[in-house]
Amino acid sequence: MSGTQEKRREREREREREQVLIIGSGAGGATVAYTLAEHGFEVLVLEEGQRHTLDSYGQPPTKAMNLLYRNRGMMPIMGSVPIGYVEGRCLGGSTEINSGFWHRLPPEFLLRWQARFGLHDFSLESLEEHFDWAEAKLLVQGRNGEWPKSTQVFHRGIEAMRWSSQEVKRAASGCVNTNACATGCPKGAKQGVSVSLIPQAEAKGARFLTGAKVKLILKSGGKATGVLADVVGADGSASLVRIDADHIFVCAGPTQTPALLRKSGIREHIGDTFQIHPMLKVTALFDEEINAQNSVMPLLQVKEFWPDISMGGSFFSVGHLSVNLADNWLETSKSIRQYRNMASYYVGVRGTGHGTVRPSLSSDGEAKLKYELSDVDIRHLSQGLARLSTLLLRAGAKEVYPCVFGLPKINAELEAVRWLDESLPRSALSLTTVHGFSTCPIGERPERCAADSFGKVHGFKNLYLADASMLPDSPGINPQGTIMAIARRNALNFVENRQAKGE
Amino acid sequence: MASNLTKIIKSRGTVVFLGLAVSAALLIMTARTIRWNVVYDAFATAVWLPWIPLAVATYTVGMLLRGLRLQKLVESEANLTVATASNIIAVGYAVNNILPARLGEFARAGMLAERTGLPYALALTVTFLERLLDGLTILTLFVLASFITPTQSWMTSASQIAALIFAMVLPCVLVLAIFPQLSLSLASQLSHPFGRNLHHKALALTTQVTRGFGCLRSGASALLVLMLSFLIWGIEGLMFALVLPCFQIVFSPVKALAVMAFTNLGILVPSTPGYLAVYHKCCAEALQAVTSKQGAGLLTPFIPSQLLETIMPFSTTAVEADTALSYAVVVHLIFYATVTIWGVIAMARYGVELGTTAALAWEAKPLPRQDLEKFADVALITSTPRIKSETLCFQPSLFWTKLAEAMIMPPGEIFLKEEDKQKQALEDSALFLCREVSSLPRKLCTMLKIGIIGFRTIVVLTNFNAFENLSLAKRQAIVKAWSFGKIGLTRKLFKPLRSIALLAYFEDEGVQSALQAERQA
Repeated sequence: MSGTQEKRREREREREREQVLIIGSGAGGATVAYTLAEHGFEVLVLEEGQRHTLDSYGQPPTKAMNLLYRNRGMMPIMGSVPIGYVEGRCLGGSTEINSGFWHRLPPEFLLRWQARFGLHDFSLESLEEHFDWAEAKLLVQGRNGEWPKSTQVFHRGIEAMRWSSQEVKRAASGCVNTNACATGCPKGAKQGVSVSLIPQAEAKGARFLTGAKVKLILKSGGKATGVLADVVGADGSASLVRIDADHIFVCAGPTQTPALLRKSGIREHIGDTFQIHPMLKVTALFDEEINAQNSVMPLLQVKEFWPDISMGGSFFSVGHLSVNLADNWLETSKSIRQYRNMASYYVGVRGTGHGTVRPSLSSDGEAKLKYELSDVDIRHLSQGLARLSTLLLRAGAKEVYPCVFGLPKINAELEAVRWLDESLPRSALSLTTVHGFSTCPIGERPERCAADSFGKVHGFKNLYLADASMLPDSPGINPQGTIMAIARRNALNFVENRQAKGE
Repeated sequence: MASNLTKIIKSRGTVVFLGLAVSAALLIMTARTIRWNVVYDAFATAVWLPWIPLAVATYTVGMLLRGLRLQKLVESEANLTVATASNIIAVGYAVNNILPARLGEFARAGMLAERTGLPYALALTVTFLERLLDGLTILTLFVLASFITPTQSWMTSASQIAALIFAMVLPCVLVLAIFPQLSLSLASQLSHPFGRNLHHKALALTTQVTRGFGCLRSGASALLVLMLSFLIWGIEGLMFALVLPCFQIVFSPVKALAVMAFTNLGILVPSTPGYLAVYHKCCAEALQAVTSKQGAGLLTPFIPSQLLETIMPFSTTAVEADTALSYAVVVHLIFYATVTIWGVIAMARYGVELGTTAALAWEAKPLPRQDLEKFADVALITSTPRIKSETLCFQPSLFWTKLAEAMIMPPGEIFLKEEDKQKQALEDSALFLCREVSSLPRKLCTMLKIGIIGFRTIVVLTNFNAFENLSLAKRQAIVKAWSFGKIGLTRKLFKPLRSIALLAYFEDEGVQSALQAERQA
């Protein structure tokens, strides 16, 4: 090729830019992709995981963890109490492996975020249309018909305790109780965004490139100019590619978004305020058959102590049951034979500790997660255990097995209430979480926010956030609904601004 | 095929032309200054036995070690015997000796791909990594030898420059090897202002090098490859030393090492195939430089005098230019003839034509990927092949199966009575366990590895037997003490292992069927 031809080709390449590039295809990324494609923008979505069909969903957890989860589900949050954390890595992100539980952002949090983070134009009324839209898209509804047995016994306990509770709506219309939420719904009933928003976004012209891991955001001055990404081909080979774009939305989730931004040299209030909902699991053994392994997880949540403490149902399989019993396996192993009479529940607390997300210096820059539980968290967990155990015993449980080392079982209410006053020892706790957020909080308070009220990263003209990382702090509920509503609000704001500029 | 070869030579035309010019100039310079009668006398009075056969044998051993290193570099990707690996290297050297522009490096990569079925791009990356290791090793040896032996001032300066280059290159190599993401960020930031083409080239180079280092899967294999590199070039130095007595020059491994290192650094300058003239000039000049000066080097005060006398006798006398050239001619001949004959025989044996090899090498350049073509705005920078074997920090073995069994089965409990199914379930659990813990962040993986090594060592020391050889009851007792004992650290070590093993075991179809059947019974 002659020099002139090369220069011409170079100029052509310069013109080849994406209008909007979205990193991540989970709740936030899919929402932005759909909204922008609907408004005529050219959209390319890069997803690190692969596209899977329903045929590959619903496999045993040991296989699903390899297929759908980041790091095969091994992403511990380090601290004095290590906390098990999982998130999805596939087209659709964590929406493919969550329970589909749906909440609207409670008004008190909305007000709190306005006051604490200076969020503009963030009222109940303004968000309502976005929640309506998301619920319509994901066919969110309450359950029709009889509750599964694990919910029935939980309800019995709630009634006995006279506590307030809520049946949670789900994005799972037509759920047929395959108990495969955590391994990808093989029936397509649960509306992970890969079966709902993504096909609709594709129909409107959005393109999704899977197996594309963004390694770096390229920037020049106050603009993000493009990304470098590794694209894994069908043969397993990897191609390093550069994609230039006019606008970039980072929607890679609460752990990957801050890690990517920091790797790219964007660090102001990024990854400094990692929040989670620490969860303590509890398994109850009943006289009657529950068969939780064959049904959807319990649908009721105790709201009496919300927002500090929540209680609800947990995913159940024989394998997961053994993990719940593992802390005191020598004493509890015999119980696994009665798995048909058991069901698992959780105590979740709105974390008040301090966490960070940093990219690892060595290896591929993977996200290092840290979270230190506060004393308040421990108190809430202890009280939650006392209350949940009491509830389950009142519901007819013979024995309750908490994930606490040295506390194999609780079989009397008087044993349970001990933890209302005493704190569980930190070193004895086995905690997990599936909710992470607040690593790049949005708002107009520059001293604590990474991006403005509409997700535009401070100091950048064309770099935006739209995922769980942007939630200013822990909302105390399953966050998918809130993420989608705010992502749509921000995407529409983006559309308005671009249209005002004549784009 | 021939057109591909022509294409390569054309694409490297400047290098070919420059090489020819440099060799011609040095040849003319040498021919004009050399006293041919002295050279003739040197050859006439030379003592060939046993030194030449020994030197050839030493060089051959060095080639076999190069083969061993190549085998280690690709062992996780392909099966390669040391003999075949040595042949591949000999072919590369032979092609460098016959064809211009260091085409041997491409030929080597091409034959490696052909022999192993590795993707060409990976074969090129491995070859590049080998050359990088060679360069660093030679630089280190040159600096060390020059600091031990007194040399002329120009060579001291050369060694100082080499030390400087080494000091600059080593951190870069370490960063590339240990911090691939950081390397990419730095390469991007530094090259971004210089335009798209340069940016892409810098990123492609960084990616290929870091992928190459990916072949060194663990610290242990990296250390082994590094040690082999030093051994290879140490043996090459010995070959240089064994030729010294042929010309009545005192046998001195350190001085020979300095000469060898300088010569091999010198032939980086473009020259004719076989490094004609450049090799001779560098070798002769270096020999004169290291023998013309008596006294102590910078590091000699730190070396015991007896050892110093053995590796670098003080009685060395200065070598004349004509004798030095004679020495260079012989050393070059040993290297040239040995490897070229070896390489040609290997090519004949494997039926590899030079043109075919070169053509394969040409195809190894990154090609546009069809699956990316539909994304017009995606600019391909470079591609790297798939890593063949799964990278597991923890390899499944009998130890892990026995550990899983002891963690899952509390004393007196049997969940699955059918032996075959139980064995399979435990093996599957161990495999799952290894895969899961290998997916942990690197730091945790390392900590866990240390913990497991500690556990196994303590078990051996206290039971005089490996964990996997102990009875189930004994293993259960040990696991109980470590998992539920008073030491928090051991409890922390075993907690994740136990949970993962349990998850895998109780998700096993056979185990679930057995639990169900037991209940029904």
